[in-house]
Amino acid sequence: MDSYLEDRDYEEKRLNLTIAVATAQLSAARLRSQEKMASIIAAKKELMEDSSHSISNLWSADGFDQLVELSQYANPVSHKIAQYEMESNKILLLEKMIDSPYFARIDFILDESSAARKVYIGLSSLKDDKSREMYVFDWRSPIASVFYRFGTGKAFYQAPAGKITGQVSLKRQYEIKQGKLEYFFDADVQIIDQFLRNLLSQNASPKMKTIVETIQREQDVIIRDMEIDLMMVQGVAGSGKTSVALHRVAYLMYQGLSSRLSHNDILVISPNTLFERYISNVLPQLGESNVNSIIFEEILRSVLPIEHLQTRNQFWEGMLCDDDPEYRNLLKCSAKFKGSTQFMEILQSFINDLPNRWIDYSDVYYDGKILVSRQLLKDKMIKANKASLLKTRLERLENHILELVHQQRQGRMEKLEKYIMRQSGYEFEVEAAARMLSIHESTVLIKQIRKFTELDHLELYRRLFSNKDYFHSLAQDLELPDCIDDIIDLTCKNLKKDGLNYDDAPALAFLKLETQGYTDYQGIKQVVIDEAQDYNPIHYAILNSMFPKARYTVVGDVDQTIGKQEDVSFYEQIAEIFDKKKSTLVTLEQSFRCTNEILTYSTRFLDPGFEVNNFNRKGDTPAVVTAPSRPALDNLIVAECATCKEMDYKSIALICKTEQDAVALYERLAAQIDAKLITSDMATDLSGVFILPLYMAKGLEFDAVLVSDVDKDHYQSEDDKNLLYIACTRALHRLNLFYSGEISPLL
Amino acid sequence: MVFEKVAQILAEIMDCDSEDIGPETELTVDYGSNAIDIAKLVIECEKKFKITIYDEDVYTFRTVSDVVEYVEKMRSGRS
Repeated sequence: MDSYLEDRDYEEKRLNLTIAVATAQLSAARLRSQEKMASIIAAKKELMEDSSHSISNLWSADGFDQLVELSQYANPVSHKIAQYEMESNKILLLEKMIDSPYFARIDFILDESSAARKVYIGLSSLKDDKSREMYVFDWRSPIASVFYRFGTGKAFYQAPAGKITGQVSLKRQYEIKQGKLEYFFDADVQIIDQFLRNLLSQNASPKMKTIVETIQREQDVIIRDMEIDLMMVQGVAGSGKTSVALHRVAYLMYQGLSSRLSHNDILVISPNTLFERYISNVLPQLGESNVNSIIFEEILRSVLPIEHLQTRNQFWEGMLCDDDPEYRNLLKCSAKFKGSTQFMEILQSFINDLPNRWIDYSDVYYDGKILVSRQLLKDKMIKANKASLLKTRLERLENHILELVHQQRQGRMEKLEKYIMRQSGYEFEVEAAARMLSIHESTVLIKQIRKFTELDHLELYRRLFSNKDYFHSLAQDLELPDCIDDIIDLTCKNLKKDGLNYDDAPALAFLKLETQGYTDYQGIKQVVIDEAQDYNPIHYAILNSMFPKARYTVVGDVDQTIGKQEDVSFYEQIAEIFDKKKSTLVTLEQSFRCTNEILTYSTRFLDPGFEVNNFNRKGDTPAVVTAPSRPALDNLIVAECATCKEMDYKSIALICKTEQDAVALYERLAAQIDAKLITSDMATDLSGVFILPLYMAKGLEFDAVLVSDVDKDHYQSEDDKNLLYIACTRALHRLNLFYSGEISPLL
Repeated sequence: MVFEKVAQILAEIMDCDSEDIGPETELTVDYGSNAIDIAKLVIECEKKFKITIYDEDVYTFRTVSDVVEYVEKMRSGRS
């Protein structure tokens, strides 16, 4: 006990000293910040006076295109603002530092030394400028890795200069709030487990929080990797995939002066806007600027100038709601096929065949004579270097024709002038009138040429589906789905409508990217893809051609697909498409989110024998609740919501299979409970009672979950099993399922 | 620089004040200029800037700034 008091005394002194150093640095930083602000105001004023650029628009860029513009935009103001932002960031970090400077300490004895170095670990580092003493080490610093990877005893870490080995003589964790040391403990494995259990027992937060205090060894390995070009993580529900991906981003933004990434170099692809909002706090909490985050449809819109693109949520909703099982199956087959590598091969063969078969060359006439025949143009295109993009080859062809035109232009002008002189009315303006005629005929000419030198991708895509025999001829050696003819018919029908279906949009984008390339976003260095299982190979191919120089972090769970089945071979396909030098697949098997009871219940929807290694935390057993009628069942749902609130659960989700079901449930319950309906494309903080379609709940977590309508009509197929697994694993502490009528055979 | 000269040429052709011409002035709508006026504009710009304007590009000239950009492109391409 004496030694504890001694330790406590030491730690309190040390804490106060640290806070004093941080406080001094904070005052200095605030002063500098004020000066910088003044200089920005001066520079802004200057800029407003001689430029039409609106600063307010530039710095509140929402769209992807604007973000890119923004990253390329450089002027004195943006430089000053960047400096100011850095200073503001530093102030925020110091404020956090004063509130809670560190959460852990290790004592590390180097092999050739006898004295232990006390290493305090926090969200960011704190160094005394004068004495150069490190008061706190950033959790991302090399030496901090020892904390995540080793217990007491032998340990090592990778420093810039090489591997450093030594002994850990102490591992200590702290709870510090508002500058006060609440408690600390010397951590052996069991105590850490208790600490983690306490943390996991807390309510879910409205936005995702950082996990720096509890990063597990296998998670740390992923976060700190600097070598891998394609990092793929297959993780069970609740294994912390998203957290790991975001902490990896924070690590990449911190690590190495030369290779450090800025927030503009990184792109996070989120499954939907609700999720995007949910994760938006993690990086700022870690003291980093938020990175660009988009959903895949925005990427498609930046490639395709088509107004109505069916979103993935709309596609899911349509497929899940349709009453005709055959049509449902056709939609599913069509989406799978059009997302497949086989279809990409067909598209590629089609592209190769375009110059030969699908470009409508025509004879070009000038000055009353044939300038070049269509056969000659076609021969020229067929002989052209295939290594260049088709668009480039067509531009060269156009330039070739125009050169021939230009050679004859003077002669043509002379003829036109003579012609004008013979006409009355233009005696004084012969030159201008002749030129007017030349402009007119040249306009007609160029429009005629562009009919074959410019590609109408949508029209070409329509043509691909307009002839079944031709389609099959392109697919000669490929395995096609049984219902391929139905898919072709359906596509043909859909392409006559305005707008593009969910599965045609990526195909059309692929066609466009492969024929004309893309150079706008080549600066992106790291792309993070979450809920990776919901994309198809063609989506990855599109990303690969848009961000060819990027490295990728791809996290997902093949058991959480919607409307399709995948297994681990999915990741092999991704690796093949990206074709990176160094790629790896890491599996996270331990789940942290749910109680044992919830996870055990949820795994019944996975293949038999599938075992999830859960972090041991106890709770109530999930119940399946029924009532003879819908109103009676609704009453039970209302009662369960009340129970959850009594238990002080902050976020409660009523998960329905579709948006249609969610709207119906909301309309029935709105008068009785204060719930919020969440539909596609909504974004809100996750605090309160929510009624939402299952596909909007992906990747999120709630204190309590009520799964609605688990009857025979709603859940019966293999695909539905995945849906139930997703729905059930959203719950942290409490899970109940509700149905009236006949129970789902899957339960 | 280029803009002022183009505006001046246009003002002479249209017989108006060059002060009234801005980059977004539309060649056909705002000044009722017709095909022959545009042909004159093309001829005069070629002389003034010592460039060639290709007749098949002229249909892309919607506003004064389109002309200015084209002239600038041709001048830089030549040097």
